[in-house]
Amino acid sequence: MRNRREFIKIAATALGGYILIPQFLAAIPLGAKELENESEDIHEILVVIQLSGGNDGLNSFIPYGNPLYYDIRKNLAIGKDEILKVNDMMGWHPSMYGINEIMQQSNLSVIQNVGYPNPDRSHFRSMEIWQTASDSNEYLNSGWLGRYLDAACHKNEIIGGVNIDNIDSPALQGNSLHSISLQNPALFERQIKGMDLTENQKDRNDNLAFVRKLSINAFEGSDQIKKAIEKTKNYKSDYPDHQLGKNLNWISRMIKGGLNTKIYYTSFGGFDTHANQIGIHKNKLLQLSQGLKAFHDDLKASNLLSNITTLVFSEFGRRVSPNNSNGTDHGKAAPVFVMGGKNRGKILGDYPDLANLNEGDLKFKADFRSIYATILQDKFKIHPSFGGLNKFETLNIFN
Amino acid sequence: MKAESIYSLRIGFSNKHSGLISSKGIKSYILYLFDNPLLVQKPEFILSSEEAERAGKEFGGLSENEKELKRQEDREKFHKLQNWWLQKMYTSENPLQERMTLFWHNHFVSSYQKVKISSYMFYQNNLFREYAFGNIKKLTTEILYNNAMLIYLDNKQNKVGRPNENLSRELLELFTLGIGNYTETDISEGARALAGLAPGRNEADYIPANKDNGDKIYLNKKGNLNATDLVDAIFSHPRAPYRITEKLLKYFLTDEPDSNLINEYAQFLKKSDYELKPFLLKLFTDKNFLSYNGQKIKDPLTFILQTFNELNICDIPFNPTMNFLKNQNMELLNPPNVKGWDGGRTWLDSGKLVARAAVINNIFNKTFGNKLNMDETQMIKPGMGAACLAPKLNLETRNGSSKNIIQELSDRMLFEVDSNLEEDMENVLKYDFDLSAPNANESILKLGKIIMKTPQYQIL
Repeated sequence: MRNRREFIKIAATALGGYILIPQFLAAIPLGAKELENESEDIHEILVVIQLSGGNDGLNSFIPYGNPLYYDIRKNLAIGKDEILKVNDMMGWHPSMYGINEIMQQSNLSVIQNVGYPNPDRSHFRSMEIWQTASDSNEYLNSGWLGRYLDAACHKNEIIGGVNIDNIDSPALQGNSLHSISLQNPALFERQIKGMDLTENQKDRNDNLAFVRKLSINAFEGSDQIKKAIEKTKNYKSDYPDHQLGKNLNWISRMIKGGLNTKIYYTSFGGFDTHANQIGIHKNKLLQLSQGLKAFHDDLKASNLLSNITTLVFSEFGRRVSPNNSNGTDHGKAAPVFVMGGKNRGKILGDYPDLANLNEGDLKFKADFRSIYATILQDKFKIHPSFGGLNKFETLNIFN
Repeated sequence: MKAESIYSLRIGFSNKHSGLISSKGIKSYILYLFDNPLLVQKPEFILSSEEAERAGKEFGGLSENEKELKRQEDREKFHKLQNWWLQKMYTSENPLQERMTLFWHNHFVSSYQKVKISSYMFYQNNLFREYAFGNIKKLTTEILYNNAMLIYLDNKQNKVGRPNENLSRELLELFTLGIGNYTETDISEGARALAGLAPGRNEADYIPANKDNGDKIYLNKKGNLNATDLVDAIFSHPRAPYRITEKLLKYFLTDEPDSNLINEYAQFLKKSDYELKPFLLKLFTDKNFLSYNGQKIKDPLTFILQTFNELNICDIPFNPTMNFLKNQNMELLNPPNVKGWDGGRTWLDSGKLVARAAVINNIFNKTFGNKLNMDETQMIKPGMGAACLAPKLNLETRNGSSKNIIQELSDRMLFEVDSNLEEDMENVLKYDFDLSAPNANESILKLGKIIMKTPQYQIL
């Protein structure tokens, strides 16, 4: 039998560059699941939305019932009348009416005061800590989701994770490549024609082996993604016209198109509000909330919401006191949101304690790795000892 | 790959100077570049310092509509500025000067998205150009007095009693010592020392009323410290040369420099009092320099400029090129965050690799830009004939046998060639290839296209 390299080249040349999936490639369990089988087994899926820049949690899910909030936040405090109240203490920022409605339907939980010991106020380091699930003085080369994919994916599975972004996510980085990064699924397949898809060498140069692997993955992944988005091209969708909305729409189509992908990842930036926070933050929260609401409604209408867990986090919260540039500096603990996946629709953990701060920041009460451990255990049915997360107690997030 | 190509691609952005390097020898070539820095004139669309200052003052009094118009006007200038720099990098006779300008841009990061004043971005860019072969310590001081930087890192809002820590934090975390070598107290004390430093006409200056004149303790130095004192304190710290050395080695030599190499060069940098010339000369004449062939992932800018240069594209189509760089996460003067581009393997993932292949297709099909939803008229500039966009590969070899041509093109474009690739290339340019045949050029172009889509072409 010809080797794979020759076969791909022949298929590509014979068809004038149009790529068909060669038979023997199709025989390898690449992970594409046919839509026909969908009803038999809808697998659990995690969607991660990373809010980059350090979202001001205190002005997102607001302890308006605590007078200290108004004393400390002063000109940045959101007026009591405007707040979308959840109970006597907590309520949503007025532009987050979409998220408020999701919560009213018991499909969204908030875990309060999430962080980690010895927090780092650097964007990069703190994001890295969240992505790798390390201690604050520990440096890991793989991401928490990458390690999960290493364990859960078949050797040849290449789109166990899909990252829609123009930056690769370290969270999905594992020892093997089980995830793919792309910016626009619709263009991906068209662009791939005629790429050099040589493999099979034992490259002495690591960089070369790395680039080769990327091109093979792109080729194989693009075929599956193309099929999934073609299947769903006539599906009705109603997403807001901004990047997060578009990305969530793509994710929904890939899920409905029957990809066997377990993790979808996307980031949403612009939360580093050192100056003139009010307007910028309002706009960001509106986009986040609109995007999530559209995703929620879409998944719910398709009966997918209970199998798809969406996790929304940021690398840190912000300083409780404003900084006098009408903004806030880097802080520590902040709330994390979980949507779908049969979450209990509750507020977990204590209300933010504004009387006992740590260097002007909220103290953390729940370690973010407890949330990771809970998702691995309750959703992916993996023992949290995996990846060293068993030292964190799991939380009562899901039914 | 030939030595002169390895040097030329790393010192500049293409093979443009490989002939010069080969005739002068690397050491004289570098010394020649040091001796011939190019002076840059302010482009006509950039405001003078006085005009910029006046425009800034007037801006506050405008209505929202007028403000939006001004912003739009400035965005257009910004695109001109990006284009201006791109052309400079492509055509400059001192490519190392532009390479170093790019290095500083990615070290002392500011982005237009936040600064919003194209003239300030230009003056910062030119400061980097001026310090391309200059003194690192002096540049660090200069950057604290740089208008664009003070806006980018919110120091405008940093005032006595009302600190904003952004600039103070990045000064230590990203610009100099790096995490682990300072405390949170150093950051808040640093912010006090920087309080009141605000944009001014030519460069920033302290506004006396906003300055904090109390004593500060910063990296064990005590007194009524100001920005210059902070830089002095930083550069007396034993860790001062390491971070910048590691970045320079990564930039020019290898994505993964080992710690011995970093130590050696860091000590050298300190000994040469943070002067760049001796450092760069040592680096490029290092006897092991060529052994790092293949140790870098090619950045998108080198990828595209090298490609244009190989294909003799005489004027760069701006919009599609900038769109490509944006999609590859390397938009000039607009990096994603204060850390800048990480480089190395972050330059590539499957999506970006695919986009690179697509761009090569488009350039060869003369449709570069179309596929990225650009208006075709935008890619043709006045006075720019179709010939400027028609790809053409120059050959030096007089003996036009297929083997020689393959050899020549691989020598200047591919860091290494294995038997599979050799076979692929020989299938495109067969042994009986005849340079005088009517379709000879197309065959050579076909070979070029194959080469530029290989994994090897993504590596330096």
